[in-house]
Formats: sequence, structure tokens, C-alpha cells
Amino acid sequence: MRDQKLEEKLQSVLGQKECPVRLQKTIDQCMRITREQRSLQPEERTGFWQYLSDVLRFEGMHILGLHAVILLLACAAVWSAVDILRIPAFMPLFVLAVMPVFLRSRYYGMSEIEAVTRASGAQIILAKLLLAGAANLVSITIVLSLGVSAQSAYENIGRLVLYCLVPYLVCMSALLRIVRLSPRGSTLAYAVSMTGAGVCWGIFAGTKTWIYETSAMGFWIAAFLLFSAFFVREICFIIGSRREGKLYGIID
Amino acid sequence: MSDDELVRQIRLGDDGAAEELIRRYYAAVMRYCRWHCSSAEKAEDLTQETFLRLFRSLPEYRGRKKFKAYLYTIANHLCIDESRKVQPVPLEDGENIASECGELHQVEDREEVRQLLDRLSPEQREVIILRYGEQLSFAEIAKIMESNVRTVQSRVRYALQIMRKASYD
Amino acid sequence: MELSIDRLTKHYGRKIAVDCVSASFKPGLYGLLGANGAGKTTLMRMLCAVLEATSGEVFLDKKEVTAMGADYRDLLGYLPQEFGYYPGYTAMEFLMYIAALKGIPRDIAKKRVRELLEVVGLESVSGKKLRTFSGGMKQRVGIAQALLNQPKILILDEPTAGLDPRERVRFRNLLADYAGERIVLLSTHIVSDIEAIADEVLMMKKGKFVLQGTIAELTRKAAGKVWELAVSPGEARRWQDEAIVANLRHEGEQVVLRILSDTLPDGRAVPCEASLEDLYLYYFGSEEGVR
Repeated sequence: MRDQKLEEKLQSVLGQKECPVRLQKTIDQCMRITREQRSLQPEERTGFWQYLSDVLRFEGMHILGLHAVILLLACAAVWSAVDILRIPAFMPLFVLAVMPVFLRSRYYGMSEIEAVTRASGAQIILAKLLLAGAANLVSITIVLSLGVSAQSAYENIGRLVLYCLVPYLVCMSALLRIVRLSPRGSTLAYAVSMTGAGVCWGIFAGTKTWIYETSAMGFWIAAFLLFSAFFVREICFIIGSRREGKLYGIID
Repeated sequence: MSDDELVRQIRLGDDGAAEELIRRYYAAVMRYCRWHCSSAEKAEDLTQETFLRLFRSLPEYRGRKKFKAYLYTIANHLCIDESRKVQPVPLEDGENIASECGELHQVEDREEVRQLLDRLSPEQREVIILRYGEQLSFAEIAKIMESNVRTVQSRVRYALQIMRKASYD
Repeated sequence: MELSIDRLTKHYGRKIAVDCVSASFKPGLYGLLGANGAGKTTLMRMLCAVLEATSGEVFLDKKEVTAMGADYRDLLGYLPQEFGYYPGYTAMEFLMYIAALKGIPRDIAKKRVRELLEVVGLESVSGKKLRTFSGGMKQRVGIAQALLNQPKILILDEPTAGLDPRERVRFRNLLADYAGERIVLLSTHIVSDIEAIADEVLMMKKGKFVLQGTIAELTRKAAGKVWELAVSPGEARRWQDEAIVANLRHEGEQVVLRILSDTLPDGRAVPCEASLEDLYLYYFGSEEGVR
């Protein structure tokens, strides 16, 4: 037999159809197996990064919305040759822009429901902090870069970064402390004080110029280290609560 | 829907996907098993067992377009176990074969192929059934037989040589 | 599966909200009955590990639940009494959000959210914002979110508040189907919510369990304490002031009173079979000014 004829014969014979009789019975048995497996196996759960992406999907607009407005204002101010030393005045406002995201669940009475989910309060706050913090840092970088290039103040970059980070760390640490410890009423007080702080800082920059001189760098470095420590402490509370799976923040 | 997509849907609780997957391959697996045992009934026993084992082990299946190889591996192992239990497949009388949905010329061809396959070693027989009966790729057959593509290709070539020579005799 | 509480206590300063309670819950439906301020909500919050106990522990299969952390919360479904929501979200968005917090993968979440919206009868309004929902509809969304992760332990604090009678019946049927292999604990001060469906009832008063058992066991305790007395309308008013009257109905010119009393209240009174409602009023009647 020639090769091709042999192969064709093999295909036609070996490929002949069979007539199953117990197909439905097999289907029923297999379905029973999958149902049993489903009831016994714990359901799949998302990891932290997928969770972060989900939080971004739901909270992204809230984080970025007000933030974008303040960023535009800051960029406009910097571009219109406002004194570069007034840039730190925007730092409290950036933190204020993300404040609603952190306090939203408490405001709408969702804290208790969110606390009992797998994520729990600590993980939710951590995810929001990562997203809000990233947005803040990007905005600060944009404003600083714009300011420095618009006013050719390249030699002052290091100091400017410090002048921005200190108020940022102060405000962020305070916000996290409020989320963790303080009851509902203090939210308004915080909002007012942050706005006030921003305004004061702006005025400060124009009137107390001595604080921005090289001789005052020691003060800035000390302040940076101190408030970094507070900030890191708050982060550690959150991470610790998340690891232990404990509640974070007050349920009213 | 692809096989992997059906498996995914089954894991999500879709019973319809489970039914579709079984219907897709049941007859093919039965046809494969039929060449390893003496009766259609026995072939269907092996087929049923193949699918039950498949579904029991479905949580472990890591789908990456190798579902067919996975399924036939299960069937292959069951057929090997079965062949160890019973005597080598005896030649069937024409009446027996004729009663299993076939016309007379099909019966004759089937008889002829069976005699040719009997000339082959178990591994050669296996690759021929998988290649020509189940239309599997060399890669899939290699996976099922825990071998490599080159070995499978040379087994097919050699098997065809033996069968061609036998058919001239 | 066994959820047990061991001498659980919660103090708020000098006030004792939950006073050294112990109990054991196996799969089934448990009703927690008590007036407002009895400590039901505090107890439930501690069961959910949302509130830290002053002393005592909660165990699930002999494992302390606060140590279990996320694994325990994964088994829980909780509907608090004061149920908040994000008004700008639609019902679908809200449930998808909660599903994300519960760590449910998106494709599973979509399917489950749709199924649950159907179960609670909100599939036709799934695209509407929560701010447009009535109280009963919001409550149903709350029940749906509690069921998202197919919890083995379902804790519902006054879940029928705001539901009309038809919705209550629907809810009772939903819960009765759900209990099965799960622990369902629901608190209420409305006896009829649980009378038909609870396997066991716990009555709570001033932070303590005053009664615990099946409905049959508890109503047996009230045997010989429930009487029916037919009187004139004038007399009826006097009886209502002086005794615990569980119910009254008008029969022709007379008023038939259902009176709770340890002893025969009147020579004309006839003993009758006690119900859970009678027992509840017997224990809580004076608190709620039912006299």
C-alpha cells in the first residue's frame, strides 16, 4: 500500500465514530463532582495589588478630582512668576484634597461595613494612602519642576524639596492621626486648619524670608526628621493593624 | 469557547460549560479507548472513568492550551492499566464488530487495520492511534507519552514502514 | 463549625453593655430578642471583631477570632443596625465595591452581584443611585452586601427595620433557606420576625441572656402564665392598666384579653397556650410600658 493510501485508510478507520450510550450519566456524575468541589474549596480571593487596583477604580476620581484642581492652581501660580518660596503653601492644600477619600467612609457611616470585610479598615487606609501619596508626590514634583525651570532656580532644588516635604509630612501625619484616633467632629477642624495653614505659609514665605536662608537649614532638616518619624509611626500602625487583621480607626 | 476557557467557566460554577466540555470530547475519547479493549462497553467504562478523573483533578489543571494532551494522558494511563489486567486484545468475530454501528466494508477495513496494528510495538501502536485516529499534534502526543517530538516522529515513520510492508505481504 | 463566646463583657466606663455572656452557636438560625439598649448591638459588634471586648473571648472552632483576622472576616457577613451607604453609587456599583473589599475576583463578583440583586428583588433598579432608594430598598441592598462572600456566619442587626410586611415575609423566607449549614444570628425586637424560622432564641436584657433555648423549650417555661379573659370594654381598660395584656380582640360586645400572669388573674380567666410573643412581653413588658 502506498504511504498516502495507508495514511488515509488509517485516518478513516481509526477515526470512525463511536456510539456512546452513557454520555448523560457521565455528565451528571461529573457535575456532582464539580459541585462537591465548589462547596469544599475556599473561594479564590484577590491579592493586595489587585485590591489596590480595585480601590483605584472606585476611589480614583475622588483622589484625583480635587487634586487636579489644586495642581492646576499651583501650576498657574508658579508659572505666573509667583515667588518660588510660596510653593510650600500648596502642600497643606494637596493633603486637604485627598482628605475626603480618607474620611469618606466615616462620613457616610460605612466604617462598620468596611471594617468587617476581608480587607478591614487598615488595608483600606493603606491602599488609599498609597494611591493618594503617589498622587501627592507626583503633583509636588510637577509643581516644583515647573517652578524651578520657570524661575531658573536650579541651585535651590535641594532646599525647595525640603521646604515642600516638611509641611507635607506635618499635614499627612496629622490626617492619619485623625483617621486613627479622633471622633467625627474633628474633621471640620482639620479641614479649616489645613486651609489656614496653607494660607499662613504663603504669607509666611513673603514676610519671614529669614527662615528660608541657608543658616536656617538646620531647622528644616530637624523638622524633616521629626515629622518623618511621626509619619513613619503612623504608617507602622497601619501596617501592624493590617498584619494582625485588626480594626483601624474609630467606629462611632 | 476554547477548552481552557471552558475549564475556567467550570471553575466559576458554570454547569453548562462542564456539559459542553464533556460533549465535545466524549465520543473521541471513547473511540480512542475502543482501540485498547475488546468491547464498546468496556471502552465506555474507560471513557466514563477518564472524565470522572478529569473532573476530580480539574482544580490542578493549569490551562495553557494543553487540555487535549491532559485529557488523553488520563485516558492513556487508564488504557495501559486495563491492558495490564487483561490479555492482549483478541481478534473479534465479524458479527461482534458488525453490531457496533458499522457497515460491512467498514468492518473489513477495521479488521485489516487491527491486524496491521497488531504488528506494532505498544508504543508504535499508541502513536499511530493518537496521530491518525485522534488527529493530535506531535507535541501533544509527546506530552501524553512522556517523550519528545523527535521520538514520536520516528516512531510514526517506523510504524508506517512496518504496516506498509505488512500490507504488501 | 462552632462559634462560641466565653464570658464576653463590654463596659463603657461605668455602664455595662454586655455582662459576662456565654453561648455556643452551631449551624442554624438564632434569634436574639431584646428591647433597645439590651446589649444586642454591642454583642454583635464583638462577634464581628469590630469592637474590642473588655474581657472574654470569641472562638470559632476553638480558635480565637481576633487572632484569625482576615480569615475570620472572610467567613462573616454582617449587616449593622445603622447602615451607611455611598449615595452616589448605584446598587450595582455599591455591591461591586463591597465585593472588591471582600477580595472577590471581579468576574465572580459580577455574577454574584446580579444573582443577589435578583434574590432581594432589586434587579430592575440595579442601575439607579442609592440616594433614590426607599428605606426598605436600602435595607435589601444591605442584606445583599452581607451575602456577597457566601458567609458561613451571618450576623444581622435589626435587619427588618424599615421593611413592610410583604418584605418581611420575603426576608424570612430568604433567611430560612440560607441557614442550612451556616450560622445565622439575627437580632430584633419584633418577635414575629423569628418566631417561624428560628431554631433557637436568646433573650437579652440589660446585657445578660435571661433565656436561651428552642422556641418549644421557652414557651414551655411560659406554660401556665398565659390566660384569656372576656370582659366588658370598661373592664378591659382597667385590666390594661393593672396587668400585662399581651393582646386584645373584640368579640361582639365583649373584649377578649390575653393576660400574662403567674397566677390565675380572675375566676373567669381560661388558660391558653403560650407563644414566644407572650414570653417576650412577660420579660420585657414592664420595660416597654406595656401594662
